[in-house]
Amino acid sequence: MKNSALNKFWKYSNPVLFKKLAKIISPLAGLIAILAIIPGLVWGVFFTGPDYKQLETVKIIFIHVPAAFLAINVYLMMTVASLVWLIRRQYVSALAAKSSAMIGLIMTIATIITGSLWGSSTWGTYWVWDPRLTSFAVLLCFYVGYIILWSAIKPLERAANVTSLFCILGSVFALLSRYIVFFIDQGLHQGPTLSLDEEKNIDDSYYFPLILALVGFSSLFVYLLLVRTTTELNKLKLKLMG
Amino acid sequence: MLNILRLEFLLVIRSGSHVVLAFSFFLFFILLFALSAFGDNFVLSNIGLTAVWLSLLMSILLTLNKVIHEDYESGILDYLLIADIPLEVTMFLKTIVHWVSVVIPLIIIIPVVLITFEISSDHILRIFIVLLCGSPSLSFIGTMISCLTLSNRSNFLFTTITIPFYFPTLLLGIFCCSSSTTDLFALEYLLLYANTLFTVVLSPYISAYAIKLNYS
Repeated sequence: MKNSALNKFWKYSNPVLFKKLAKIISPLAGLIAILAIIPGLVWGVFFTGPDYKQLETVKIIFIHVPAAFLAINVYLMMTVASLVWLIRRQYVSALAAKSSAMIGLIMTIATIITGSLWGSSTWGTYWVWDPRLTSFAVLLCFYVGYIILWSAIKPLERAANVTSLFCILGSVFALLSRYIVFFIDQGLHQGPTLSLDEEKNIDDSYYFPLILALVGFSSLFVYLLLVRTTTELNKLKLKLMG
Repeated sequence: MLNILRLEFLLVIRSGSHVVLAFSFFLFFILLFALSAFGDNFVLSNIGLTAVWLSLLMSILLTLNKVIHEDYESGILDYLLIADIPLEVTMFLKTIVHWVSVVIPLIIIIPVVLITFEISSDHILRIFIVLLCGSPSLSFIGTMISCLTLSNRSNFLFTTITIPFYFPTLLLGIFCCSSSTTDLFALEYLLLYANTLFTVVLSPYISAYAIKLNYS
């Protein structure tokens, strides 16, 4: 065996081993989520000063940004999982994509709702057809389409095939419409809050609680994903046993 | 290859009910838009381009599902799958035939429709060229998604999951039509052509792959 590390990784595509691993990791992820989200939000909301212009509404950032971060990256993760299903035919990966779609959808809706509440106080309107808002509406359409497609097609393998292809195509076309929307209109929304290559990010007093909230939301996603995938695997097992 | 092209055209000529259907649907849909802005020339000239693009999109959506699904039901697709000609080429030809037989007649009538929408005749030639260059992308994306949903005949499902894929084309198309630059090689026009070429190249491969996935 040449790549033993890679082989160790693929070993967990076996449902039994995956469930064993999930049983170890999911309580850990849940614990990290609780330990990061609650202090992060409490710190962010009660122990930071108000912004000089937006006053207290700026604290929506501690939910808005992690939710938006997850909404985009969950779709990316689904694309990777779909590719793994199409290439390696592993049930765990198809079911992981299926179970993360609903989490991604809820994160997208949360982003849109918190964003429009934020917009109502700073821009004076709940919704504008700004490029970023429009691309989230497009992302929402792709999540909904993906979930509809899973429920519409019957044998599991065929549904997994079709939805995987849909997901990969969807990521291409969602990116395409995002850049076209940005080409047409520059928009009202501010630039990225956090980026790796910039000197100056958001102010430090907001930065650390935000990072804590990001870590918390991500581990919440990992926890939910593992629980939901295990449930799907159990359902499949029950169906196969009759 | 020529045989398939001939066969498809013969099918359209001899049982081309969906062509007539698409044509009348297009006109009725346009009429709906015109009636919704009845008597208000300002609104009429504003919604004209949107009305044309949306009606075109809807008539393509409603006819495309027929093209692939009927072949699947009647078993012609099984033969095409094992034929000498690659499935990619077949799907490409099928889509081209659909575009020529359904979309071209609609595009030819669009200048007349635009005049009734109070759009000045200076722009009509430009809009015509934009439609001619942008609409293949609508047909090709539709074929791709139609092949994905082979195992579920529901037209409603097909329409719902295809609409998100039309956003880039629709955005660029309406933006180009209402753009003020007349130079047909300005950046937005180039993006529209690029979008069309991208979907035309991508679609046959994805369609063939999707059909093979549905049979496996």
